[in-house]
Amino acid sequence: MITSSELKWCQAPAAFAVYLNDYSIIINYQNQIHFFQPIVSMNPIQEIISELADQYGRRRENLLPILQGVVEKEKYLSDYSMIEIARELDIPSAEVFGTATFYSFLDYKRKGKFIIRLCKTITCSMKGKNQILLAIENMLKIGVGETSSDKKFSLLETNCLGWCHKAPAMLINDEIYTELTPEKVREILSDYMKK
Amino acid sequence: MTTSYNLKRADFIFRNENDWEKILNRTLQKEKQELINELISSELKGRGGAGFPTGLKWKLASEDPADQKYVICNADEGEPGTFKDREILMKVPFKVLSAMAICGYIIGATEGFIYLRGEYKFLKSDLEKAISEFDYYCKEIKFDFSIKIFMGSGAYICGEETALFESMEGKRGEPRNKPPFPTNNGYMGKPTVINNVETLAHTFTIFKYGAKKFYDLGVQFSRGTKLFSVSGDTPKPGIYELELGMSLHDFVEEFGDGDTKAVQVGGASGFLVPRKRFDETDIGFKGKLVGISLPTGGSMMLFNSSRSMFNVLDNYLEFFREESCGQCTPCRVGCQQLLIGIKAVKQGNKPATYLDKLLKLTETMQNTAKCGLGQSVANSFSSIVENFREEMIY
Repeated sequence: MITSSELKWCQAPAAFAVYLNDYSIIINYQNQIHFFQPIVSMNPIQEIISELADQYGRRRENLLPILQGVVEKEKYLSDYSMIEIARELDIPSAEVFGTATFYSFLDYKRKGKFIIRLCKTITCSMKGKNQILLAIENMLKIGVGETSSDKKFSLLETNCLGWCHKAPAMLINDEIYTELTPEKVREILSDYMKK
Repeated sequence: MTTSYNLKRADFIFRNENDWEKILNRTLQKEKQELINELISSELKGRGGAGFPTGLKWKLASEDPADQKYVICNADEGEPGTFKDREILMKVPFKVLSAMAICGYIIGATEGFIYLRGEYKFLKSDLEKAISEFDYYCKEIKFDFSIKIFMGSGAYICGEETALFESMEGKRGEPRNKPPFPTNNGYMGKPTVINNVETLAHTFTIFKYGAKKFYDLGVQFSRGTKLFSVSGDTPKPGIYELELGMSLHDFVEEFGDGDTKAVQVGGASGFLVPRKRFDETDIGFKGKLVGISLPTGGSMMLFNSSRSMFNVLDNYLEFFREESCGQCTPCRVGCQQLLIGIKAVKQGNKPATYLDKLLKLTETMQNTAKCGLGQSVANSFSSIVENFREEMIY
C-alpha cells in the first residue's frame, strides 16, 4: 500500500499506471510495483452502483433492482451511471439503456427532488383531474413533463395508479394522495415546499 | 343489508387470517395429489382476468421433472379500474404468503417472488415485515420456502405473465411467444406457477374450508366468489366480494346512481355494456349457453348519462398507445392509428364510414397481436363504437 505522499506523486505525468478492475497498478521509476484502490478518484455514483451490485448481485436478473436503486438515490439515470452499471454487470451498455428506457419509473432525464405523478386514466379524469392539474401548474409554475427551476418538483402524468375508488389520485415520490381537490392539493404542495 | 335482487355478498377474502399458521401446517401434512384434486374440484379459475383453471396450472407445473421451479405472485395490478390486489396485500398478506408456500410444496419449488408494481411501493415495508415473520415460521416448522419481493417500475404490460418473467430477468418487459407455457418454461426458463394475488387468496380459502364450500358458490362454469373493484359514477365506490354469475342488471341496481348509461366490465381491455344489454349480461367466465357472460379481473366502472363515450374511448386508446410495449407491429401501429382515426372522424376530417375500417383494424389486431394487450384492444373499441356510434361522429 502506498502512502498519501506517494499518491500525489502517482498523479504526476511521469508515473505509469494501469487500471485493472477496482485496482490501480502503479510502477514507479525504481520498478517497484504498487497496488492500491483509488479511493480518491472514486465517483459517488460509482460507489452507489458498486454498493447496489454487492447487495443484489452482478447478474443480469439483478439489473432492475440496481437501476431502481440508482434512481432512488440520484433521482435519474445519467448516461454515465448507465455505462457504469453496464461495466459493473459486464453487459453491453446498450442493453442497460434499452432496459431502463422501457420503464416509465426509470427516468433518464434529470428530475426534481419530488416527482409528482398525477393519474390521468379514466376515473381520475372523470372526477376532475384537470382541475387538479391546473392547480398544480399554477402553484409550481411548471407544465406536465417539466421540472421547476430550483430542481425541487417535477410534474408528470401517469396511467392508472389503482385508486379509482378514491379518485383523483397522485403519487409524490412513493407517497400516495387520494380524493384530491384543488384546495387539498395546494395544502399538500405547500407542505412539500417547506421540505 | 337486505336486497331484493340477486346479488350475493360474501366474506372470505378479508375474513381474519389469524389462523394462517394452523392452516398452513395442516395443509403441508396432506398428500400433494390430494391437494391438487381438491383445487381442481373447486373449479377455481384465475382471478386476474384470463380465467385459466388454477388446479390444472399447479398440476402441470408439478408434473414437470425439472429440479428448480418457482412460484410467482403477480401483484402488477395495472388494469384501469382494478385495485383489489393492493387491498388484499394490505389486509391479509399471510393468506397470500401461505398459499404461495402451499403451491411451492405441491409443485416442488423452494423460491417464491411477489412482483409488486412500482406504484405500490408504499406497501413494500409492511409486506417485508410480514415476509420475515412468515420466513421465521417456515424455519420453525422446517419447511424450506423463501419469498422475495421484486419491484416493478411502472409498466402495465409487465402484468402479462411472460413479460413479467422478462422484466424479472432484467430485460425489457416484452411478452414471449406461447407456447412454451410458464408451467414448463417460465422465470429463468424453469417451470413457474404464476398466479394473481386474489387467486392465491382464494386457494387459501379452499384449503381452509374445503373445495365444496367454494364450489357451492357462484354458478356453473363460474364457481366461487370474486372481488369487484367498483368505481366511476357510483354512490359507493370500493371493493366488494360477490358471488360470480350475477346479472349486470342487479349489479347496476345496487351500485348505480340511477342514471347509469353503461358499465365497463374488465377495465380498458374489457367490454363496455350499454344499458339495453344489462339484463342479458352476466358476470362470469365464458361457457354459458344463453346470453352473454363477461369475465373480469374485477374492474367495474360505471358511467352515467353525463359522460361522453368518445372521451372514454379516447382515454382508453391513449392508455393502450402508451402501454403497448412496441414489440409487435399490429399493436404498436394499431393503437396509434385507432387513436388518430377516432379523432379524425370526430373532427370531420374522415367520413363516418371510416369507423368501419377501424373496426376491421381491431379485428386484425385481435388475430395477429402477440399478447393479450394488443388482442384485447378490440374488446373495448368495438363494444364502444358499435353501441355509441353517434357519439363517435357528432
